[in-house]
Amino acid sequence: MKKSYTVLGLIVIVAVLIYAASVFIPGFGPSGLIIVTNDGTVEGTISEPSEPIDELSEFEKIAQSKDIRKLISEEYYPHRENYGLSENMIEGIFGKLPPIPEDFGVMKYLIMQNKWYDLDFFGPEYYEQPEFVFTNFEDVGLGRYQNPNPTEYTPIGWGGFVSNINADTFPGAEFYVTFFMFTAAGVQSYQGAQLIYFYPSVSKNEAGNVVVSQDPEVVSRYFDVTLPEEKVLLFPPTFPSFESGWSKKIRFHVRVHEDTLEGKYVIAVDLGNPPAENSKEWLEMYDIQYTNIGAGMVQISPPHFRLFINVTK
Amino acid sequence: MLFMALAAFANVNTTTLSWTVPSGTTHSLSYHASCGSQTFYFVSYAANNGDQNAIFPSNNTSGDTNCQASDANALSVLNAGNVPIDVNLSVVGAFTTGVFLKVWSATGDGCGTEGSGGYEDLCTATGLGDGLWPSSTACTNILGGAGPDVNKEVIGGLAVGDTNGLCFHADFVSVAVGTNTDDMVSDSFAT
Repeated sequence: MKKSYTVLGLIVIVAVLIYAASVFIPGFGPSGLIIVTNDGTVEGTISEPSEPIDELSEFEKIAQSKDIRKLISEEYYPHRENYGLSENMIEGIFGKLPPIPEDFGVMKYLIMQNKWYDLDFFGPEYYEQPEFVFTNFEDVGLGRYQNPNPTEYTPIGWGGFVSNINADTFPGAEFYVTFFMFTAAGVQSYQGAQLIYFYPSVSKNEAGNVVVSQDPEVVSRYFDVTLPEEKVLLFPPTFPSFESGWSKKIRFHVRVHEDTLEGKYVIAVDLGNPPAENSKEWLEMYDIQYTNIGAGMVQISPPHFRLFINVTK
Repeated sequence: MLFMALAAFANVNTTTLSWTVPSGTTHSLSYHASCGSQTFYFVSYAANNGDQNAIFPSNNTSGDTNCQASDANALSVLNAGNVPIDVNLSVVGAFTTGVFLKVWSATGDGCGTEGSGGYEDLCTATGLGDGLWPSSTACTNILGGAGPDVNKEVIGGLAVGDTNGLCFHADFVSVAVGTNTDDMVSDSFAT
């Protein structure tokens, strides 16, 4: 009698352990209905164990779908194969650019989401990709390659990115600022230019409201601006190909005078005409495909780069 | 000592750079391909179009090809950035007294009836501030009888991704608008 109780007890314990394992350990043990009767017999059906590999791959799918880094990287990475252009056209338009870095999508995301402000970090492998410096290349610029207008000639166009930067600083401070200037998409000429800076008397925000009014002559006594040594620049065409050097890194130095009053100021950096000797040289080189960037009567507002400076003590 | 060092460190000022929205300001100018250049020539000739010597922009000093027609803008501006832009026009240089240059906004891809839509004998838009821009039916002078009018705002708040066409006419008059003259000079306006 004792022996039969002992056997029965062992059977019950084993059954409970198996049941518990099947419940708590995914993919372990059999599944099905098991009944242990009072006399120790086991009744019921035991089905084959489920495939643990399937459950693992489901888990992997879920994990992957929640891999934010990968999702973001894909979202911001240039998928040129989806641009509606043939392979030959893609090679022709983008073929002269450096290879796209693997972390391109993540870095672009960090900039667009205000999480990365160090633009000096980036080399031409980033800023020579149109998808990096154009804020909306697929919406605006790409159309110039998908459906070029045969009745139009586009000799002039340039831009700045990031075009509005804020500096919170103090009297006596010195710092560097970096941004990018580049030929606009679809431009067919070589544009000769020279970096210039100035103090706009009125600056508006994107809503069109005046946010800074300043006397340029007074403000010029508060700051020293040192543009890069290489101020005279040639911007190559972006149509039919993005030519090497079409986008450039601009890094300039600002010194705030000790006697600068607390307040808000704006320094603008843009492009003007190059010196006559450079213009002549480039004209001889590219003849009708050359133009001075500031040759015309058209001016754009706001300037292509503005540094909004907030001075506090 | 450690506290003093930490206190000194805490007092060090730093300049921080940031942005609220990573903005891009980009524009491009396109011209009618038949002109093949961003230079307009306004060539005067005795047999004008009958509208007080209103002259279209041409591709050369001989006036061989018009850069503007009912279905063609002389100049179009594209806002390829992500912030709205204003477009101003200025003409610089020495011009013959009595030359007027008039600008108005295109209608779609062209400049209206025979390229002259929006042309007015006396321009009613001033281009001197918000809301005073020229339209498809009202022009503004960017070169008046007395000399250049600088920084006329001809397009206000051009939206992101939008293109706006501009149309031009020159008036060659010796004294006042509407006065015809037999001998007129040629001038070119680089844009």
